Amino acid sequence: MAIYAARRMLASVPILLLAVTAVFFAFQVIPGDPAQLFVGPDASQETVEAVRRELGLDRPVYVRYLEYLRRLLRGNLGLSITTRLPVTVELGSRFINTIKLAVSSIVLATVIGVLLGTVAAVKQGTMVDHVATVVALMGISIPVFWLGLLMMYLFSVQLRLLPSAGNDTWRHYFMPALSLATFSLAFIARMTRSSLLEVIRQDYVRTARAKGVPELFVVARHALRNALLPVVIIVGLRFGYMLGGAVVTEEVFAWPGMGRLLVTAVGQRDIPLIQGALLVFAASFVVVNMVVDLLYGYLDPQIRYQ
Amino acid sequence: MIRMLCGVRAVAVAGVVGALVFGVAGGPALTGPMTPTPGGTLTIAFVPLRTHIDVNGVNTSTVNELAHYFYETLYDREENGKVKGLLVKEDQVSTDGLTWTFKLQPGVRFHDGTPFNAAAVKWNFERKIQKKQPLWDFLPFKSIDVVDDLTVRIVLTRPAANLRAILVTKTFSMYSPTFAQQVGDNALLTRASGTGPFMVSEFRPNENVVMRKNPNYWQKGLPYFDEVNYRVVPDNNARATTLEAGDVDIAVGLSVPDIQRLRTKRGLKVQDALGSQQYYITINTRRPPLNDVRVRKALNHAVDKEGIIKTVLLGTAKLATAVYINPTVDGYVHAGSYRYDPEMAKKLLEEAGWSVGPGGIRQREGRPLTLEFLTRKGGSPGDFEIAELVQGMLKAVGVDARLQVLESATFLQRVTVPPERATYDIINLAVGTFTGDAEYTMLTFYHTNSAAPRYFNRAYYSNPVVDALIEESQRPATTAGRNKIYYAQIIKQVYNDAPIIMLFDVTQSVALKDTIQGVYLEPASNIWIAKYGWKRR
Repeated sequence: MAIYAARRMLASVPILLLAVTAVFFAFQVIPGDPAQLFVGPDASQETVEAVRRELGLDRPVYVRYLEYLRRLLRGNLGLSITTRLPVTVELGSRFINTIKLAVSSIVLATVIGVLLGTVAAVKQGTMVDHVATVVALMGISIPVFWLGLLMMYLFSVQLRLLPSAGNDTWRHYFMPALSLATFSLAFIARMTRSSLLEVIRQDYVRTARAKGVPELFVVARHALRNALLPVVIIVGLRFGYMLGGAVVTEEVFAWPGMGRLLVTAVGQRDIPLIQGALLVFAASFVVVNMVVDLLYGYLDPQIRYQ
Repeated sequence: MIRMLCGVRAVAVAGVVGALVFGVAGGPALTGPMTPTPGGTLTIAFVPLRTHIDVNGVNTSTVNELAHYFYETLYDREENGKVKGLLVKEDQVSTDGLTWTFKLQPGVRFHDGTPFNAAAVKWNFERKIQKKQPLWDFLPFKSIDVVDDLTVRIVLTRPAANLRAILVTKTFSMYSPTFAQQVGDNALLTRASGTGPFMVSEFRPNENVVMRKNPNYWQKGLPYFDEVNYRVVPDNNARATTLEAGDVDIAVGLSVPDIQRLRTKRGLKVQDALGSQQYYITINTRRPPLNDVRVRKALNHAVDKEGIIKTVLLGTAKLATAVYINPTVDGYVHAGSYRYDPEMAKKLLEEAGWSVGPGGIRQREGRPLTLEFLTRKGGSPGDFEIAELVQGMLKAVGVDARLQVLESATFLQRVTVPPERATYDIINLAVGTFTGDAEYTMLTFYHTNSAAPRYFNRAYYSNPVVDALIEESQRPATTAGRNKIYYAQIIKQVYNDAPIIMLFDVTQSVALKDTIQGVYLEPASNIWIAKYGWKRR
């Protein structure tokens, strides 16, 4: 398994390099001048040119690209154009914040989603099932943005229960995590429900019931374990997305994460920072996918990797 | 000019009004004099701040607003617009206006403990000029000499009656030379050592800035707050909500509807002040048919400015009465507003040879009157909505304005090109006169040499008569003389040449808890000054 993991990681390196190269050259063609954006819109052309020289942006493209590559292979991601701080420093704390948000969110989504899906499957066809379906539908349909602001208004302004922005204390986690979780929650609930329904019809479940096992254990011990296999994949994928795409949640709740950082960096054409963020996203997605594959192999004895 | 927050002040009357705008509704009545109470933390919800805090290297209102807590300039501007010495105690100007002697405030230290002195002043100016940092070309300095520890003598290449006003601009802040040399240029983007009432203790780009009281601040008894905390809340609505939730004390950059809503909230108040910010639409005067002044005047008459003020800005603006500037700028004179008169607009277009064709769009020799209209969305509050309305109004007189919404960085690049590479006819913009002095406008907007990309004359406006007047206007020894003899003429002439579609001067508003006192708008730089504020208990 370790060899498999290592092989997977190694195989992703050329892909990452390609992505970084594509971004670099794309930004040479895309309109937008980092030097001009650095100094602001109210600066004369002379000032902009002086800044361009200072930032080394007046050198030929291939020179800058090769320099970036050389640094990258030594593990140095360069300096952010806008703050001249090392890209690793800029990314570091942001990435940790994003992970914190993604983890709390996916845990919330999984717990609630599985619960909802299980109840819906067990009580299939009843009112409970219908309500659960509607809740899931709402989760997919309601924009995170709107839900977030609504929650903020309810819990921060009206009830004064939760803080509205930032990430200083544990109380700050609730609303952002919940807003972000609603979409994944819906998927997980639906997948749990359909998967469980299929499994419940299987022979070994009937056998367990016939043996006199209490229904709760039938569901929890025997049925759910197998039903959750496809759910693991969903959870993994959603977690990967959350690591990369929680921009809207981060913007609404002023959560200092990677999504916001990337969007702002693009707006500033801060190419080293954009490439750094992209590398982090791509690498984490590779890792998450790999972990999901390995987990699936571990859980399902029928699948084994060479 | 593209601006997010710009502010300016009207004349003394408006200033008094501004000072009295406390608790409009929902706040307790003022009884007796207000004595500042020291202590406490001020938390401010702020707009996105992706750039750094090296204020001398930029000229943006967001960085200016931050920097005023920890950096100081030689001169400062009071709430009523008057320029007074800050780090300069007194100054002397020779009779020919070429030699300026500055006597500095004694006993001032930088945050790193080193003394603020003449050598520091010289170092700062030389650095500015050598690195060509923003507005460096507004310093007509021939030589800078350290006469003694607290006296600097500067000889100019030409008289500059408005030098004090220029030096108020935050981009001429005084940095500690020792600190700068110690940490290097890169670190100055994220760290600061100035003479201000607060010291930067934490700066996380686009997240927050934490500033602690400077215990050795040279103005005794100030500041009142122990700590000032800037928190970036990117979403406009969320920013208003955090104020309503009580999590912050002040929220800046709110949308017009939010401001109106918060006026009547209990425990909150809204402060308004007329800003130097002017919304306008630049016309590319080199591109036919816009090179015909009749067409330009027609565009002006076609726009119902008051209507837009009422609908989009909910009354928080006044008609612009001079090109790019308003009464808060020294040198301003009333020129005119091109009243809303669609019939006049149609008449002028007919005179210029454009008659109504198919679809109601005017044409001449078979070519339709189509204009490329560029705008951003969210660059300034209401900008896109205004553009849409203007588009409709132009259509009503037979002008087909094709509106294109561009992303910020793309927009900036597309509108900062030489005339031969310009691909626009009209652009939706905003400007703020940072120095509070019309010379800035003359040199960066009116003069032929100010054509983009060199400076900000994106209309490529050029009038040799105006150029000659501008060049001569640098001679008078006082701004009053300059204004009377030259600027009045220039401004009226520019108005008549109609290089832009004039729109309006917008009011700046900020929403805050009604316990916060001592906050005011600094004219010109358009920033809310809270460094001398306090929290009423």
